[in-house]
Amino acid sequence: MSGAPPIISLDKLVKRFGKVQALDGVTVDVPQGAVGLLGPNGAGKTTMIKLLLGLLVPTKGKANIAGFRPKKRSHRLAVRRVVGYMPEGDCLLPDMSAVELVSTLGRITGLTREDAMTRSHEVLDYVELEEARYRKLDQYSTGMKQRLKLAQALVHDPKILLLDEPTNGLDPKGRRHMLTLIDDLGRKQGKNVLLCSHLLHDVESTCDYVVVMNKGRVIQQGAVADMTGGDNLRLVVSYEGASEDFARALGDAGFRHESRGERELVIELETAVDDADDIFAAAAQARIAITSLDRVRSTLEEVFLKAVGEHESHGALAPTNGAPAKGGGFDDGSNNGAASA
Amino acid sequence: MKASTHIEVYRKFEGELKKRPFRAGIVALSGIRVGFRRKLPALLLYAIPAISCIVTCFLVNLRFNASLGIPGAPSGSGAQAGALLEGVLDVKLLILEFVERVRFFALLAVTWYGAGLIAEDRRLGANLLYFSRPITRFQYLLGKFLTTAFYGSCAILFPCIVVCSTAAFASPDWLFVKEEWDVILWTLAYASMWVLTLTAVVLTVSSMVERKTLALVGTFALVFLTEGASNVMSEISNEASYRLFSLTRNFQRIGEWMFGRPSPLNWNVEASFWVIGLVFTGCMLILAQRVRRMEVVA
Repeated sequence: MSGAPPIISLDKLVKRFGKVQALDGVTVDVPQGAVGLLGPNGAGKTTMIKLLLGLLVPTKGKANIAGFRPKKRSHRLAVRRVVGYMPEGDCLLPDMSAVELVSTLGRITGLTREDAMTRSHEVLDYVELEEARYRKLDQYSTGMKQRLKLAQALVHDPKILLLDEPTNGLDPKGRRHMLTLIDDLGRKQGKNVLLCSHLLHDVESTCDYVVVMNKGRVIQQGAVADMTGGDNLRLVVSYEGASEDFARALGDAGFRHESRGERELVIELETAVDDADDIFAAAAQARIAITSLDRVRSTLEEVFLKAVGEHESHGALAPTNGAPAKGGGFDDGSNNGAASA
Repeated sequence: MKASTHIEVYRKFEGELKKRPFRAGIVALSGIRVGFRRKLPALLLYAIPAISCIVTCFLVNLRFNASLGIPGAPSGSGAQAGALLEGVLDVKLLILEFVERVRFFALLAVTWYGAGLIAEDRRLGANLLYFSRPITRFQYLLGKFLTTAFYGSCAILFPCIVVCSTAAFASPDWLFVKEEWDVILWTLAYASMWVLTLTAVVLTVSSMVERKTLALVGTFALVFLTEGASNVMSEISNEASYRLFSLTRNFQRIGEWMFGRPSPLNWNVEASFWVIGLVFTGCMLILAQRVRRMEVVA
């Protein structure tokens, strides 16, 4: 990420509900831009968001969001002027219409009556609720309710958006639509989005940076591109020509390989050095045309499962809270150029 | 195939947010608008107070006209009839009886409209929408309070203002204002006290449950069970002061004291003021605590 100061900083943040440890000394710096907060159910994601809004008081530790400390009463109100929050649950009042709800919440935030009304129409148009804006909310589908919740979070044009499970309960079409909106807000409109989700694809498709949580701890964080950047020791090769000849030539050159679908091989390297010339030489020897050569890329799901698996197998002995994105099986982002076919 | 015509883009807000909007007022206005959307309850709750208000205004007007004699009547008989009406229609008594009549409808209105205000916010989680905005607990509570009090006022306070205004305008030479100003004062004070106390009670019950129906049942139970229990205890022990436990009896005592009417409830009126004060303070303390938990969980 860029050298800009983090938009959210947590320092050894602890939250207990009786005997339940919801957050266990979380230390993390969340950079500006679109950031995913990823974790299984019960990982502490919602608790973290509520702490940031001052809706919960931390047991220990410090939280800072946009330069404010939400634990302080005066700061709490200031935070809420610059943050738009989309709650997880179905929190809409059924007797209201969308315009009424959004404009009322806008006015509470500080918009004038005229501005609130104008903004309500604008954000409802943006989330494509323009035709349903005067309908009572109890007639809304789940997808419409989710979009309305996003609209109310946007009405005062906040600097930061805290979105708690925005695709919950949506059908594939609605989910795709919601992800398009979030992607637009984060990447094109320059909003700082903290997307809280347990759905890996949602985070992968909308966020540039990800913080992985499990059991109240941050177990991994880093840029999505780095995390899924690829495996330097495995290359995937697509080619045209006779498979047997190419396999034999690679074997003669000392490469271990396995077939992955038609006209595609995964080649294992001994060391992460530039062996592309040797592979091309083997291909030339076998009269094969290589059409693509790339590192084997992990999906965020693989990264996530690996991080959670490691965290659970190590238990609490090896916390990686606040650690930068290195080690733990993740690529550190360095690229030796071997993948450039 | 459906053509995609959506071309809306996100527009940035170029203006400035107001530092100190009257947030309680915004919450109240929104609540009032939503409440009055259903016409039938409004009709049922306010039709009788409205009719009663009109009748009382008519009688008050008649009373003051009677003091001038009945126009068009044969000489002597008009003055006689006027004097007769003057004797039968006592304005102070008319107003007191009107207040006593519509008091019950104020209870119904406040309970119907106020019961769900906090309970439904809690059940639906709408408090998260409010408290993720820069609104304080006091502003939120004041907003809900104003909403509920407005509904109660529509049943008793505003009609009382209309009746008193009629009396003021109908009386010759503003006699009612000059000589009976205390009736206006006590009427408005009494109606306001009744509305505020009921509002506090209803919102307190609403803050303790998570459904409007439960809040409705809870409020009526609180009002009528205390009334019934105090009556039974009073009858058994032959001691009227047990009726101090009843909210309505205390208001009856205060009303009779305010309008200078002899009361069968023979305790000191200060005791009733104390009871009402304690109930109100207790409710506000509970409400403050409950609303605090709606905003921040320690």
